[in-house]
Amino acid sequence: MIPRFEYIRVFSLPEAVDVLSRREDAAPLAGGQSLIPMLKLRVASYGVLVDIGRVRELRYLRYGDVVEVGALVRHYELEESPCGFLRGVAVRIGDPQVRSLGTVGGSLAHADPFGDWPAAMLALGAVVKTAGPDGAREVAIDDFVKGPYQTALERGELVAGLEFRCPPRGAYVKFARRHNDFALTAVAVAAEVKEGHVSWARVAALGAADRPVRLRKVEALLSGVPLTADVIASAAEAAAKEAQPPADFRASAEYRRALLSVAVKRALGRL
Amino acid sequence: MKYVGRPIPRVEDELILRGKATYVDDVEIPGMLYAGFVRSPYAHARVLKVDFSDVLKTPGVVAAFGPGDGEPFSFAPGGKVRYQGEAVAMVVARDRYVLYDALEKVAVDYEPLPAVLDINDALRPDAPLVDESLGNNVVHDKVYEGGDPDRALKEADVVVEGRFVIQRIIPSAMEPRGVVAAYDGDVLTIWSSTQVPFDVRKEVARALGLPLSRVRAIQPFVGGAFGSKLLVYPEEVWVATAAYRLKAPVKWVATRSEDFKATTHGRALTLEYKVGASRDGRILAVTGTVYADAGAYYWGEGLADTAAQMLPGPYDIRHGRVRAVAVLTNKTPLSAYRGAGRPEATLFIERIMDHVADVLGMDRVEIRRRNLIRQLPYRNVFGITYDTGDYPTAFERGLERLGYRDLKRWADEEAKRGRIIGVGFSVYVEITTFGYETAVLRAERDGSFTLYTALTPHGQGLATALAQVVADELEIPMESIKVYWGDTAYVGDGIGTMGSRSITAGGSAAVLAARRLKQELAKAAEALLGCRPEYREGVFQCGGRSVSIAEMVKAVYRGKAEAQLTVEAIYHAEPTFPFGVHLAVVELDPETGFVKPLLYESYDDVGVVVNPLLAAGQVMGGALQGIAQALYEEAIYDETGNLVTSNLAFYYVPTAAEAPRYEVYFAEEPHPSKHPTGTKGVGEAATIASTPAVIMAVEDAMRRVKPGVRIDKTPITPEDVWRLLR
Repeated sequence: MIPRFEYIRVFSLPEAVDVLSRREDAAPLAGGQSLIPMLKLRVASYGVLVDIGRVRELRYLRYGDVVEVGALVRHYELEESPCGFLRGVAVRIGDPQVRSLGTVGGSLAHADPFGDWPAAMLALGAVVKTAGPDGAREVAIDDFVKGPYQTALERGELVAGLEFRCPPRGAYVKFARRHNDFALTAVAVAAEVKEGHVSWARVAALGAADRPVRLRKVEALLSGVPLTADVIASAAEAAAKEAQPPADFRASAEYRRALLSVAVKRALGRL
Repeated sequence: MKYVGRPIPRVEDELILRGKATYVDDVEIPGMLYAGFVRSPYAHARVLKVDFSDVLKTPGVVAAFGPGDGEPFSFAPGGKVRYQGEAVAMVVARDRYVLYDALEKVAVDYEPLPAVLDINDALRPDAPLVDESLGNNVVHDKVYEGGDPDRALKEADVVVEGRFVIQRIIPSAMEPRGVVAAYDGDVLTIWSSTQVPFDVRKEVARALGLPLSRVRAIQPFVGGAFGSKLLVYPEEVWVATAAYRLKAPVKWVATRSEDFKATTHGRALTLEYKVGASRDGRILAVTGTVYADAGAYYWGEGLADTAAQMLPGPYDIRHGRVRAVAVLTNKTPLSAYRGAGRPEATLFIERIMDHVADVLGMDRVEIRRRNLIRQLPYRNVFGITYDTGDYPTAFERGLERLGYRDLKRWADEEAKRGRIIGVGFSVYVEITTFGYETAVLRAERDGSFTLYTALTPHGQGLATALAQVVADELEIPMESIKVYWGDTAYVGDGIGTMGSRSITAGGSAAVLAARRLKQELAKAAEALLGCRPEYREGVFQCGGRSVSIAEMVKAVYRGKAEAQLTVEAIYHAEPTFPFGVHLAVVELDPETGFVKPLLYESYDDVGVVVNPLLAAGQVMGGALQGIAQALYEEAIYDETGNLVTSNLAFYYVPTAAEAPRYEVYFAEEPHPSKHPTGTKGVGEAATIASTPAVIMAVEDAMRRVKPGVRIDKTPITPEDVWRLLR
């Protein structure tokens, strides 16, 4: 049973920031795919929910040299994105109901350690654009997720959007018990391959630590070499060595490590 | 034109699909109060004190009831709670926001006690006691025996021993339990999401000392139950009592997490077995012990016993001894879950057949062929008599129809291309139908008929099926029959929908009621027409004269003839025994251990099939639940007795995305039961048959990677598969 709350609908970004910074017990409500279940379970409780769903400044999606994704872009809007990497991530999120309501900005701000977008954005090297009482900021994704459910967002700040380049090649491999389930582990790879050699690769994983992380040893190993079966095999092995996977009722650390290795192998195989 | 046997679409669907069906939470009464329960966070604890002083001062709180309030408020019996989620107090408030805040303000002093969570721990002499009055944790212990199992084991060429563990399942009906009760000073009415309104009525009447005639229980639309709503729960009595004392309507609807802890769980049986076989594959004796992880209260009576008595399955095994033991643990009480003992018996014996086949190096089809019962009726070694059927023929035809050999060959071909496919099958006989059921049929003035049934459908489509059998008996269009259910004001008593018994017990009662009503009207028609009439398609005729049913009813009301226009039939039904062969195909990802069910096929002899569409629906839904048992679902507790899988995000109910393709077949020449409907029941068939078929398929796939590997538990998770393959 959701605890009683006050509901405020805002129509502009300054209005949203104003309410969120004035009220200590306020939380922004976008797609509600994490917030509402948390309220239902009474593990979270807020005096006021600020519905930002109608804030136009947060609802944009532009594909140019740089892809600009407004915080209110819903997962389903990326299911048929011209950027193949985004498609691959979007279709693996939850189920049609979740994808129809859940937002990319919400997923980033919530920073669930098993959320799909934080890991995907790490692979993309995205810039997180925030808006807050002290104005707009740009935070590199590597500095944005601070821990499980923890981000660089300050009080009154919210995610306004994300910017990144669509990678020439990319893949997202996710292992979950059910299609609409949280991942046991997942690997996101963004890369460029020129003349048969990997010129750069960013590899991020979830289920490899207590938060989404980049697998830097894997990235280093891939840099400048051709994507041969041997290289892929050593990358998969390196991933297993580098990871510190959590154990919970879904999977042991040992099994997650093995899955991670397979995920890296398959993701690289799809590049 | 007969209706029975035709795939008539469900008459119930319109209301449900349009969202117009009334479920218990849709029942609104002016002045409604809301009840909620304070539930123990501990698996085992003394309840030292329940303090309502803060709560009763809260505006909007109307009443609170705790352990000190006497019967029927039986909170924390013996001064302790025995499982996480057990209620210790109840609060009634004017709205739900106030209520749920108030529940957090009830101060309960607990003294945590060591919890016992595993049956092996519970059986140790120094184990903490769930119920001190027993002196140990064994709440039930009974031996079923027949023949001379010791001698048969001694004379056997091979003796095979093993253990198979079946997990705890959370039934997860989409609609949680809920109750509304209202007392107007004259009649106490209870709406409950239940399978047993008659029992709810009896229990509430008994608890409050009211005559049955002043208590009415209503089962509104119910969003699934699977056996988890076939007991009268304490909340039903408590909410009714609160309404009675406060003289106000009171509503309680469980939250999902609350329902996961406070509604009974299922399965959780373990078999330790020792069987003897001859070298040519005949099973000579089956012995062992079935342990039930009964949870904190022994509500699931007979689950281990059913599994024990049905353990021989469809095989001719002449010597047996199986002990049925129920062990208390500090977990949610165990009770019926779709199949209730028969899925476990079937999984156990099918695993035993495979185990013996492996030891003898025998084909899995061949070993079954050699042991199938040849002649029906057949009295099994524990005294249960299977009624009708031809198992050898159905077995061979079934495997043929399902394409078992072709699929095995296809799996071999795929293996050459590196794709790992597993094919498995299962054979089952199950026991359905018990007790009595009631039908009341009323002829209306316009030639339509109203059927009141004591059955309690909650998704089965019985309003459709009952209209079909009554329409055939009365030779009238189905549309002129309206079926009502779920109200003790309609019918005096009955049992309800459970155990695959509805169309057989309740359908037969409806057929008998129709037959009697026809006789009543025929008698009256004879008086009116002056000759003995023949009846065809709603019209009585003789001597060149005729009178329709509608005219007859009017004639009775006008005093021109005498007849009962409302008749009741109470039908007592003996058990009957469906049989079938099911098949599963899965694909294995050997690197990750993930298994995907690709195809599920069934071939059942369930007697007369009233409605193939409804029957196929039962098979598909049942199969997915059995697949869930094989691959997905498990109630997981941590070492302190905290339910970790406490909601649908953490508990793996499979979705449509996980479902295989289905092909459903019924025997071309079925063996009807001896009941008026000739049916045997189909509600649980696939839940019973699917788990062993899937487990065999997974093992088959795994053996392509690692020969000889054996599965001895459910569920077999991807991590389990991965570990076994390493």
